[in-house]
Amino acid sequence: MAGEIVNTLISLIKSMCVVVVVAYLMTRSKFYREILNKKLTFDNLTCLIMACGLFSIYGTLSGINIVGAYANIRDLGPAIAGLVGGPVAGLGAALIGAIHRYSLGGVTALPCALSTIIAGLAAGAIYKLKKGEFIGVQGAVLFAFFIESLHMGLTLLLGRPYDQALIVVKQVALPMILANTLGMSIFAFIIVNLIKERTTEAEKEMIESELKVAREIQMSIVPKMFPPFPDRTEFDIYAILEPAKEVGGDFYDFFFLDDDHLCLTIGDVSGKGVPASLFMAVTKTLIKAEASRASEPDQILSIVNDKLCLDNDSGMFVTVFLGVLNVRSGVFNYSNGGHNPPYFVRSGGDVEPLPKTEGIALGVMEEIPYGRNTIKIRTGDTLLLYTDGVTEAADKDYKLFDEERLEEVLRHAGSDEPKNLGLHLLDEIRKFANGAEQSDDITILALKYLLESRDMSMQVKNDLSEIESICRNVEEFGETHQIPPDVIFNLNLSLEEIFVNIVSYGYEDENEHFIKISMSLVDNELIVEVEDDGRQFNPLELPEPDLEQKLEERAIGGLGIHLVRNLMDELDYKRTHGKNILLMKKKINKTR
Amino acid sequence: MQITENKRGAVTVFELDGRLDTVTSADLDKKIMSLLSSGEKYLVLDLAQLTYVSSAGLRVLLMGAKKSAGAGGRMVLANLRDLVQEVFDIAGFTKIFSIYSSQDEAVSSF
Repeated sequence: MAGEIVNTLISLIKSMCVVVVVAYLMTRSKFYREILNKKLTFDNLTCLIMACGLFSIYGTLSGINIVGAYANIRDLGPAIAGLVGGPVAGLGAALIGAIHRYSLGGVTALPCALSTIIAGLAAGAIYKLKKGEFIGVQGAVLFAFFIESLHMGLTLLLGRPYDQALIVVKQVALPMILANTLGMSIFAFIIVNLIKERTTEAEKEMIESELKVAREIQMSIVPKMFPPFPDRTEFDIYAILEPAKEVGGDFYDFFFLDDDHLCLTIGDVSGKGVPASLFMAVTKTLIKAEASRASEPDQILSIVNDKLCLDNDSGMFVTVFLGVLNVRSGVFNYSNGGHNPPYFVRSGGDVEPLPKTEGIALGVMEEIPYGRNTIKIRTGDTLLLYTDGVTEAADKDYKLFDEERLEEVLRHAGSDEPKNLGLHLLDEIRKFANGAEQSDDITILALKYLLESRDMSMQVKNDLSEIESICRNVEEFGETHQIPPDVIFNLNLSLEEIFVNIVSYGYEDENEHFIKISMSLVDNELIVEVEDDGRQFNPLELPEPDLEQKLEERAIGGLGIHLVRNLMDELDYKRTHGKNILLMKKKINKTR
Repeated sequence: MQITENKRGAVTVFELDGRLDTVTSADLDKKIMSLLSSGEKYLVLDLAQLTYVSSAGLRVLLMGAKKSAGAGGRMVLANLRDLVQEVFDIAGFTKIFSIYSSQDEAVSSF
């Protein structure tokens, strides 16, 4: 008796192993995945019916002989088919198993076949009731229990002769119910596992697509076409934005306010993902709108800050640097809201961060005062705007790239074309990170000023020997800007006359004084300014010489200023802060 | 500025090369004065290589002309370049100086 139980148990375990394998293979198949997604095509159903039907037949054939009767798991196949595929699948699989069983004949042929069919249909009914959702492990097990109990009941009801049927039932009822519920629990468990897996995958996909959305928002908003202004030769500009895996909310922008003024801006939103990218889009839009109205950088930041503070429930904030470059004169006005100060790389190789100005990140609090600063950019100078994704790029040991390395790169490559500089810097950052994951957006915006500086200024001592040096500088300036020789002549002459007057009459002491001479060429007009700190002396007030006098009567003096008046188009004198400032203008007709 | 001195008969010719500005005009002044004090009173200044003149130079020329006239002689100019000529025009010197278009002409005028 004990040996029989052991044998039965072993056979049971063997059957369960088969169940596990079949369940695993079936649920990993493509057709099953589609069924799980409620895609019940003809092909899928056919596969399901065939699989479960054959499994049902296997159930019959692998039945365990218990005193002449066979405990089996025939009903399992159709039950599964019905639970996961609906009534059609259940019936289909059931018919295959049932017809096969019935063809074998025997006392229990009819009740067995019938209960198989009932199993399939009932399972299908449950599928319909649950609207295609799987019933779950507990439900499935309960269902198996009831189906097998029904199976036993039917056997008693329909088995002929009755007393044989009774014997069979007595012997196989327990093992049958046990085997079927066990087998069903295995199947159900594997199916539920699969469903969980799919859900996790779906969630992951949703997060990934959210990141994708955030990145698309970010990348579609920043200007990406380079060169952006092919017909503007005053400067060269290039920008790079390398987003981190989780979008970090960096942005940059540049646009013309009018023909002469280029606005540059860069920023970094606190936070990550879609909220950061939306806040970034809002900020960028506000900046552009405000810049068209107010033209001073500090005003723009102030107004944008106040607007961002309204309706800012998220508590996010954004660091912003904004500057306006006069592309004709090289004058650069800027304001900074808590952002990394950009680097100023002079054409000689000096690298220094722009002086700080008052102000904090935008979006924190209203009515924050923002400061403003002005610098003069010369030919060959470069501005490098960046976000902390550059300086805080880390390697595997959490060492940071830092300002020192950035400055090193700028010292070596700062005079390169902006595109080369940007790509080189990015390359250096990647090399430094050496495979460590990028944790924040990396943004670089480089602008190189190309317009030839059309001005010059010099300081000379109050000594007549300086005339030679003045002359040399004037000639150099004239050559650089292709000023016609007669204008250079007139300029030299005028400067000599003015200079001699100052040296001769401007000082009451014997000390060394400095005289500042500056000139610039704007729109074919030469503008010259002579500044000295001597006593108040307006050369324009000297009396004109009488040109009608004959040789003998002509006075010696007064000629100098007379010449200047005739050689220059406009003369202007003013006395301010203890200085004499004489302004001279001459229009140049280059077609001579 | 270089001053090259030549004698052509009774006439002394100074050939000026370079700029006649506040600094260099003192040299010309010295030379003219020393010439006059040596007795010569017929002077031609050939300005063919003169590239520049300022009011200081004009003053020296004026002084030279006055002094030589005062000594009974004459000082004339030759070969003024365009830009130098313009300065003379503005200063009204074209009226008070005798200006010739060649050294020979200037010398023959004596």
